[in-house]
Amino acid sequence: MGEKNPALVDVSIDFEGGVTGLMGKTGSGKTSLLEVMAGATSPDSGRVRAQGDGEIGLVFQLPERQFFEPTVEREVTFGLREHGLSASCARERAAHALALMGLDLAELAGRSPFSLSGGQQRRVAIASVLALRPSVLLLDEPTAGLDPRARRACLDAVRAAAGEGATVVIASHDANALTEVADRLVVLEEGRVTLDGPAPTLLADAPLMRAHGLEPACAARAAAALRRAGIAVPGFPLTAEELADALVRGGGVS
Amino acid sequence: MGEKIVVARGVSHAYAPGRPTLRDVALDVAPGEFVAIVGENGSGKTTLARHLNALIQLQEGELRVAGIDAADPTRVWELRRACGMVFQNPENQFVSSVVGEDVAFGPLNFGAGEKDAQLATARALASVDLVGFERRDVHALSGGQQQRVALAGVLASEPDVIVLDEATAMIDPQGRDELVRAVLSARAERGATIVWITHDMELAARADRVVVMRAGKIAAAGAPAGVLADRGLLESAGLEPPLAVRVWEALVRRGAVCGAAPVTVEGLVSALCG
Repeated sequence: MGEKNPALVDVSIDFEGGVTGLMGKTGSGKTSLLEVMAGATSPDSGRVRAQGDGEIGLVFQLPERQFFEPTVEREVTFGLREHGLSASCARERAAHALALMGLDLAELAGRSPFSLSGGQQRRVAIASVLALRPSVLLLDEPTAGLDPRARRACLDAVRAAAGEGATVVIASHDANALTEVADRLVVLEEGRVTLDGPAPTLLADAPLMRAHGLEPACAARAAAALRRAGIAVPGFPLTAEELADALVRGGGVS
Repeated sequence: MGEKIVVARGVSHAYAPGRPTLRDVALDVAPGEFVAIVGENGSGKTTLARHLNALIQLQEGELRVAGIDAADPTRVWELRRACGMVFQNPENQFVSSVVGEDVAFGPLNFGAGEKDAQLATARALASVDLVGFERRDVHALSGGQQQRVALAGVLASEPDVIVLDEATAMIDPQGRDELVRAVLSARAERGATIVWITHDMELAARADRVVVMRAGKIAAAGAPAGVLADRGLLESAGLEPPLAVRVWEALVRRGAVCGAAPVTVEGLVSALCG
């Protein structure tokens, strides 16, 4: 990364279970932190330690950076075959992981990953890491370019992985997605951690998010706009339902 | 309404036999119009967009863009000049790593002289608020700046139509806002027609017209106020209404409001203030 413009500066951070959202502007070091944690990039100094002997899985921001097999089936079963799973077992795990992402292995098996649409590529990239059932799951902008259905499938799969004990870290610009899945939020600015706390509280705090150069969740932005117009919006609503409740509570609507 | 800038009739396309991606698409776009195309992954949005500047060859139907017949192989370059595209990943669309050279590539490629290309480049960079960036390395720019360079590269050829294919999906919110501002100001300054493919319903709400695609067909097209407030339609196309609609629906369920849902946060604020 070079000494002049380090992507990460003296970052000390622990992750243990749950889903952590990693936010920050482009170039703030999110991707570098994920890549260092995954061992895909070596830090110039410092170290990364993972407890236990579980697998660390990284879903790259650009799916085409991750693909190297000629077919979707080979791509999604690659890691499993490397781990010595039988072909049929690997195929079954791959089919399950693709189904979690709303894709059908039978339909895509022989296609080149590079021939898929952008949204399908991202889902195949996520499925090929999910299939490994990693104990640490790192995802770089997993919802970028996904439609609502695929986005829902992705967030459900992330939640399920965390529910089964995986430690999940998601780098994302998508405050709405993080609102749905993240327990904890870490904000990076110029390679340094500048905010670390409970995701629901931080994501709902529009002024705080803006002060860190970030976009708050959609409902929090709307709440801020309503308050500016003189409408009472008590609390920190994060969803459309919570915002409607707050508006009724505030007495601005009868 | 005068002459349409985009006229599509019966456009169908299949990447593999028997598996159509576009089915009998008919679409008219007026000069200067801002049309948002929404639809789930695989609904045919990108395939339709790529027909507009001949990145995909017309298989069936009729398509004219800025008066150019897309079926005429001798007019491909003319068509690409008339209709420029900005793609999802900024890194994939640069031909030079130097901003000024990249932006000048279009006009030079279309036969402009060195001096005209330089003028066009300066004008295009001014349009996207990147004056003074000529010598910068594109790879050292932020995502939003990169997408504005890509937009400048399109503007430099003075196209009639600008197609953006999920051009905000990979950049941060600040970059997205910068790009939206640059596109809308290019439209205001130059009267360019905008066709914007997006999953961002808040962006679609700002268009003149929203086209909803479902399974390769146009399921609906109309003003955002009608289309984006129609939950049934959107859900049938695998989409979700924008936040303002969802908040309004939740308020209706609580008996707090009634009437048509606003589709933007500004609309929600004025509906509740009124």
